[in-house]
Amino acid sequence: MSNYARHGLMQAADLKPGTPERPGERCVVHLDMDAYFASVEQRDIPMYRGKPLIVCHTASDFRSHGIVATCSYEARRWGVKTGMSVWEARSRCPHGVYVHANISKYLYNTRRIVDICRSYTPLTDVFSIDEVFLDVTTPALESGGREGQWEAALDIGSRLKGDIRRQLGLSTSVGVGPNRLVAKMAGEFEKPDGLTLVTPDQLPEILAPLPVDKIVGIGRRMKRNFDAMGVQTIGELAGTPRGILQRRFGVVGTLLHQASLGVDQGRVGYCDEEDTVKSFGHSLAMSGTTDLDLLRNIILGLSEAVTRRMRRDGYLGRTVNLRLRIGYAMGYSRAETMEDYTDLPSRIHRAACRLLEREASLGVWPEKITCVGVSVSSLKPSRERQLSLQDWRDPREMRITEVQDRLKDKYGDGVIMRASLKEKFALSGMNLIR
Amino acid sequence: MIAEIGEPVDVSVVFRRGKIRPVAFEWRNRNYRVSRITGTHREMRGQFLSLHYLVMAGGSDVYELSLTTDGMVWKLNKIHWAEGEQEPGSRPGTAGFPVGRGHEGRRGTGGGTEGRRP
Ligand SMILES: [Mg+2]
Repeated sequence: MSNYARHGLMQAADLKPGTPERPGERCVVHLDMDAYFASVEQRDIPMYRGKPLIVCHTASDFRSHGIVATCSYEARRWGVKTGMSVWEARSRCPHGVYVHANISKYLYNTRRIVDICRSYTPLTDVFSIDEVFLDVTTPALESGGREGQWEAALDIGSRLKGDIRRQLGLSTSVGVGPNRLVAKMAGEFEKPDGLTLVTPDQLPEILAPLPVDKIVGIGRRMKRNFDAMGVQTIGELAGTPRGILQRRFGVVGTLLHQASLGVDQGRVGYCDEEDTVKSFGHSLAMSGTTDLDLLRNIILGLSEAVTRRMRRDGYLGRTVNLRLRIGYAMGYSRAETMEDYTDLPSRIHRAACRLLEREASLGVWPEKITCVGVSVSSLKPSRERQLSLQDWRDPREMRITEVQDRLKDKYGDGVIMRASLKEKFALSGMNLIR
Repeated sequence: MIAEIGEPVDVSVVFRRGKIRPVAFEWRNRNYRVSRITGTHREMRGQFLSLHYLVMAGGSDVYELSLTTDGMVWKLNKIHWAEGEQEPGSRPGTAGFPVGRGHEGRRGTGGGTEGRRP
């Protein structure tokens, strides 16, 4: 068996020589850690290897409360799943080992994984705490030329897996494709420890017969919609006129139609650069929710994180941008510009919540929200601050924020937080995914 | 099983090539010689750095040690031990051996790992 394409849908020998040149064709690699938190724990604590290990998110006694963050493959055999309540997991797998999630440890490992990825290409996007996209077009072209581009990309995927296993002792599933959507779908074909390539040539033939919910981000809700429309496969979705999808799903309709053709125009590794100078932003990826109270609370945490960085770097801003991702890759954003410049979390939070509520009332979310981002732009240096009437009348928030900043500078961001954010923000890879 | 300990411990370390490696620690008047480091990570909390080590001391137990630059304190945070065994620290013969006997005394005293399991 060749080193690359070990689990590939396509073996290197199947690659057609002299594939016609397609200018601008990208090679994207999607890396997904297998049972990430559980694998880290099993690596660190040998007695948990080979056992059903359930890693739980909870601040208190995980015997009764909390949810399953990740579980080992051994636990999955007992029907334990991510997102399930610990209580239910215990009833399915009473003999399992239950441990608390140690997010700072996983973040440390993620940073090292990202460092390994960046040794292959600077064009990387950290998609969540255990997923990274890499645009390897340039290194693939350099080593394989146009003809061997895909073979070389697959080889990079294989070396990446090897590096992570050797340096960190962790197993990954890698998908390779012409864009993020296809690379991620390719990676789903074989888990754990998979390596799968889907080339543009294979796209129609591979996608068409798949059930429509194989498109990343299409879940139960949208599936019901498609059932009602008589659309079962991705091929049938591709055959549905775009206008119909747009009428039914709004903004998302266009993206769905493109996704059914394996098209995803998003590029890897560019969003960071564009954002850093002109705005401050934080986002949080999650498993999916439509609970407005929870979303408001997450926005509060994001507003605090964003404004803390603004204060540290000495900026005020007045345009608040709320970005929502529905399912996978179906992201859009809405913005509001306020009267006054600010670096206080409550102002940003209120503006972002107004945007959220407006969107929610339009009812355009065909699926759960899987990522929320808050960013602030229209910046100016804080030294040009003009005290607003509101802050002059009631300087309490300014003062309390200042004290909190001093405490956090010394003892770390976890030293003080709003009671409503406790638990939720410990869960996130928020600090990693800016 | 996991025991939450959170007690300060004395740790002997080796500094080598910019890295710190714990080699032994003393907890509740017993010495534990580190036989294997299974995992490490580090984290910044404000201006303080904390280093975390998961270590084994001859048996199957895993000890979570940490050092914070806030006061330069080493702590034993948790112990993971296998189901069906007595809680560490309450065992008559644990992986550790009483302080002051020296390492060579371990085998003979029954305090080593050999005396612990059938
Ligand atoms: Mg994963």
